[in-house]
Amino acid sequence: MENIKRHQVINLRQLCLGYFLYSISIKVLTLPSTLAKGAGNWAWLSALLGIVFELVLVIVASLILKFTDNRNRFFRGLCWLLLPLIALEIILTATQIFQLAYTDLFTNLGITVFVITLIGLGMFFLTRQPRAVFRASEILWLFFTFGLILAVIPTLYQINVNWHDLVRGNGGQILSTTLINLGFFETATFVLAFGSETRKTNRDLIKLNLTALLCGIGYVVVMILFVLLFGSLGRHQTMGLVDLTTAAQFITNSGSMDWLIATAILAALVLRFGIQLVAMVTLVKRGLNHRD
Amino acid sequence: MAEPKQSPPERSLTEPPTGQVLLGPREGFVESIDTNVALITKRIKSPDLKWIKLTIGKYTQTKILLGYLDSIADPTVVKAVLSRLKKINCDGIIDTSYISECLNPNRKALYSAAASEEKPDVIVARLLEGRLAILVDGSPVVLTIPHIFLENVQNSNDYYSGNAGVTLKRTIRLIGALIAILLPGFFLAVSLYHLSIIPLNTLAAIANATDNDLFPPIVEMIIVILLFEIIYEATLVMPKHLGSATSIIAVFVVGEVAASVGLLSAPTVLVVAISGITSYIMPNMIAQISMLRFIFCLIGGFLGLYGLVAGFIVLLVYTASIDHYGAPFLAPFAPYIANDQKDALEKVPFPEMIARPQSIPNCNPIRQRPMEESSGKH
Repeated sequence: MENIKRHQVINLRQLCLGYFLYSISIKVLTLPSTLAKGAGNWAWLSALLGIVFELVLVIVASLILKFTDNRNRFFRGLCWLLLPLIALEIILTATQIFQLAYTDLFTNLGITVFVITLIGLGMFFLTRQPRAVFRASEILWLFFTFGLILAVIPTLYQINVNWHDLVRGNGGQILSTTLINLGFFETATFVLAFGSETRKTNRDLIKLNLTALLCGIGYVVVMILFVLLFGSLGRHQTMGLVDLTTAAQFITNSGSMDWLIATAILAALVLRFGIQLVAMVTLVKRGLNHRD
Repeated sequence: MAEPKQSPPERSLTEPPTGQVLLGPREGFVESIDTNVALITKRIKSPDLKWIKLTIGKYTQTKILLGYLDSIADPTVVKAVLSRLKKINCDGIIDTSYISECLNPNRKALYSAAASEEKPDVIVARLLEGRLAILVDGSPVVLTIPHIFLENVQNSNDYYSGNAGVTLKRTIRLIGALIAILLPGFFLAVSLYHLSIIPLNTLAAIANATDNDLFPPIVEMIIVILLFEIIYEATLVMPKHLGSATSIIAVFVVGEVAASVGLLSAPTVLVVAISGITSYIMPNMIAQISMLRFIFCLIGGFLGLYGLVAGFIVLLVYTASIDHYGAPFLAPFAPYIANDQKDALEKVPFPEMIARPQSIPNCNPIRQRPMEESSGKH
């Protein structure tokens, strides 16, 4: 009976993998060019700053999980407070999916709206069981890691190191770009909503924070790589890695891979959309003190 | 006037058409429940093996037996299954499939809550893992419950022919199932929306082959899939000696002639053929694979790779959400259960499988003592 109960909640491994997928989908796959548009060559510093903010918030969220009963008034109040933030993020993600689908695939507006509606309905249907999304993340992280390797490795072959690129340009936009683009509140909400399913030990929280730290370091490294590779990132107009990777040129003799990367980005957005919906439902449940 | 009592005629034991092995037991169940029980008790002699007898069906009065190992099976699962069986109130039970449908808590679920098996050695192995067996008089198929996806990846040959290459074979089965479901949709998505993915030479070959196509690609794909399903259904019900004739007609008429006169294109026929062959890699999931292939074909044709990826994520989350009788359907992959990886994609030698699978609820987690420890006591 014990093992039946253990599978009914989101465990630490699932939470960490979910965090990894979530942060990868937000940051590595969808944000580089958005940050670069704001902060230019200083995009890597903007990323670093965002990671520091995020780590602080994840640590605060961890401490709340440790010292607060998820049934008390403070926790329930916090859930209601975070709800508008996550609702706003859902709208932003839906817009991003729309942009990617409309500009890169379906030039027909009707089909694009149809796709987004299908994805939304499918995901909304699945919000009834948050653990299902986290269980799926235990398989999906393999696909995402593979996609990421596919995108980054060809890039490494063509890297042209010019360290001056990292500090050139106007750094005045760094803070505003960080505040606008990096969803650190969103990530902290994620940790709070899903981490509250079970009581966390100190060891669990350390693992969770380490995961956040490693994901953050990984993201900053990726950003530095792209600045070194492309110089001024600001000139790129499309989202994410599509134009930033050299996979498309790398596979010239055997077919272009850029569509696969674009697809990986959409998959990331779809997953992010699903997790945000589930997070919103979970926050409402916690706010109403509803038992799962 | 009383009817004379005669024992009904019985079929002799034969190797069932599903689950054939190169090396290993070849006995299969028959239509007599007493013989089937004898085949199981021949292998499990412990008094721990319990049978609960039920009679279901107003007119058929069919004898049903629920079997489990008392010290291994989880009592809550036994109670849940028994209570569900007792709720069945119908005219008659003809086969185990009737019971299987009644056992599913969600009637519209894509996957069955119980696995079907025709071989006593497999049933015994599953009972030893904490599952329950349901026997129905008049059916050579025995149900085991709870049912998880991994059972479709495992095969009797994995256990009887040594460990070499088992990981590879299981990986191939898994990839095969993915190919069966996704290949037609992927082909349509790539050829309609993402031509840049295809290498230039291959693209030229496909363009040549599809130059004079009569139908649009998506319509053509649906036609070929429907033809394939029709041939499959016809072959199932046709006498055996006519089956080979159907295959010849299918190969020459559909494959050769239709492609040469330009009714259907060769790449489409090839894609459906590959997908069709790989769908038999999981015999218990043929119906589900066929349905999903059709759905993903439509998604790929209308929504491209994006739709395919989004659809795959939704399917994965749906599949991961299924918990029948306390067993997560995608366990031990999602949720990941480290102990059960010893007999998941990888298979370690039997002496190393110390613990019983945690994917299946049970109340006795240890399957065997380590061999060093056992031998040290002698």
